[in-house]
Order: sequence, then C-alpha cells, then structure tokens
Amino acid sequence: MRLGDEIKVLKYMTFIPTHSKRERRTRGDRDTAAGETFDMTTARDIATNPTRPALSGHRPLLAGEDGAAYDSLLGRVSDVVKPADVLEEIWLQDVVDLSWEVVKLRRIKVEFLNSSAHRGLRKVLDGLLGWKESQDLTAQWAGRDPDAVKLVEGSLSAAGMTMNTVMAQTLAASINEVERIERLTAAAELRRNAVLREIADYRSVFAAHLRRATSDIQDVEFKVISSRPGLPQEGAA
Amino acid sequence: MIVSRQLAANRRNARRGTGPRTASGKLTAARNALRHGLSVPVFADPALAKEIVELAERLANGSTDAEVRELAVRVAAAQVDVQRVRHARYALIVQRAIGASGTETRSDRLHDELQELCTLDRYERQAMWRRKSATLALQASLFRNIGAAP
Repeated sequence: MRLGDEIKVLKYMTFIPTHSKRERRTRGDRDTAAGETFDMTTARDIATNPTRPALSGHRPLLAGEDGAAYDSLLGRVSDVVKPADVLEEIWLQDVVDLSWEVVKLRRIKVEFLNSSAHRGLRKVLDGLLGWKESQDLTAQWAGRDPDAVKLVEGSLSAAGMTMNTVMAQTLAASINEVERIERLTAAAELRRNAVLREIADYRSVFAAHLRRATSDIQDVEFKVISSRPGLPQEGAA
Repeated sequence: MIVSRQLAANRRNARRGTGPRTASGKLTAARNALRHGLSVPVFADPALAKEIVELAERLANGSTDAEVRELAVRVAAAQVDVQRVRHARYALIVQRAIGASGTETRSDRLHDELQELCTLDRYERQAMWRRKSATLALQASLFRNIGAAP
C-alpha cells in the first residue's frame, strides 16, 4: 500500500468528508471545476505540478531580514543539537523559526514604539504648549527638523521631563497594540519551550527503550558457567 | 426552573437570532472558511498532498508496519498544517507591509491587523497540538518495535 493510498484511507478514518455540495460550490471557483469530485488520485496528479511554492524549507524572513543570519543560526543550532532523525529535524527547525520570531517581534515592538513617539510627544506638549502649537511642533519634530528638535528638548527640560516621559506616554497611547505584540511574543516563546520539552522527552524515552532493549539482549546471551567440571552448565539445553 | 412557556420563548428567540437570514448574508457566511483557508483540512488541499506524502515517507523510514505508516501520515499532515499557518502569517505581514508603504498606518487599522495575526496564532497552536499528539503516537509505535526487536 502506498502512502498516497493511506492518506485516502486515513481521510475516511478521521471522518473528513469528501466535499459536500456546498463545499464544491464554494471551492468551485477556486481550484477545481464546479461539481468535480475530489479524490487523492486527482490530488497526486495536481500535486506533481504544484502552482504554489513548497512549504517545506520556507524561511520565515520578512523584507529587510538577513537570510544569511537565519541560515547561520540554523547551521549553528544543527551543529550543537545534531538531529538524529526526521522528527528531530522538524523540531529543530521549529525551535530556530520560533526563536527567530521572538527576536523579530521584540524588534518590531521597539520600532513600533519609536515610530509612535510623536503620539506621546503630542500628549506631553499638549499640556505644556497648548493644542495648536503642539500639533505643529510634533509634526516638525517627527520630520527631524533641527530647530523643532532643539525646541522640544528645551521645552521638556524646562518642565523637568525627558524623552522617557514621552516614551511612557507613547506606551500608554499604544498599549493595545503593544499588548498584542507581547501576546504574540509570549505565544512564540511558549511554543518554542514546548518543542524543546518534546525533544527532551523524545530523547529520554528513546534512550530508556534502547537501554531496556539492549538489557533484554544481554539477558538472553547471559549463561551461568558451572565452577565444577563435569556438571551440565545452567541455561544449556 | 424554566417553565414551558419560557422554554418555548427561548427556542423561538434563538431561532430568530442564529445565523444569517438574507441571501447575501448567507453567501458571505458560506465563504467565511475561505478567508484564509486555514480551517480547510490539509488533506482537502491537492497542492499539499505531495508534501505530505514525501514527509510521511521520510518519517516512516522504510517501515512496512501499517500502524507506523498511518501515524507517519498523521504527523506529516499536521506538520504541513503548521507550515501552512506560518506561511499564511508571513504572507499576511508582507501583504500588509506592502499595502501600508507610503501611507501612515492608522492605529485602528494596526489594531485590526494585530487581531488577525492573533487569530492565525490560534490555528498554529491547534496545528502544533495535533502534531504533538500524532508524534507521541508515532513514537510509541516505533518504540514498541524497538522493544520487540530480538
């Protein structure tokens, strides 16, 4: 039985129905002609000429990210962990991808806060200079106009404030977005830790099974040799 | 204790408030699952079948045991599902990044985009859970074979 056929069997075993009339209707304009019945033979035929790029080997890189740095990280972790089989390769790729994502999300949070600093500054200057002037000055400051930057620094220091005050106001103004980024980061970290635990469990259980299997083999091979010559040896038929 | 009149009223109200009623509403709701396509099982996507089969062959590692081969397919399908969700997430980020270029991203829009990313996160969590459960079953099957070896 080929694995492709097993997928077909599994599809029924897991109660995944072939497309209902409604599914065929909604899928019709997407990838198959309306009313065409889906089956794994068709799937394999289509799959041999995929129109989409393969998912395996996909690198989670955004524009501006260094592909060489990602490859280097993957290579270094592979060298240390030395995956023994396909499962370990999958987990290792996961750990690297999720670590990459955590770093990326942290960077995104910092860049988001920096790019939203004008929101916090506007709030601070509102109280110091009034609405109209704070609007104009904030816009000039965001454009890095040297006079505006100097004026902002002067106004802040005169009121006993620093850029930390501005960033605190920025955080307060963007707390919903920051909270969501934090949640995504925490989720990625949790997943990475869960994968690390899976690797550790797999290796320890595998080692335990190997130990048990090898000790069974040793028991079978073991024979007690009699110290008294002439007597039959224990274990001998 | 709910009296029969209340029960009848509850059922009547539930019928009135459940699901889309207009033709266009029903059409929209019928396409909800196709928004990002991640709720469609990977088995139903023909383009993913080749990747599932290839990965399952590697996981089965030449085993002829029917159980091992079946579990290998399960793990492979779950793994392809994980990759599909991640791919969709990066595609979404890239798409939004291109869409946002040259214009200032409004706070409410960013809020919606992050909400969408969090939604995709749920799919990844579920796919990883399926993979873990299938992997544990595959490991148990493989280790039983090790234990049974002479």
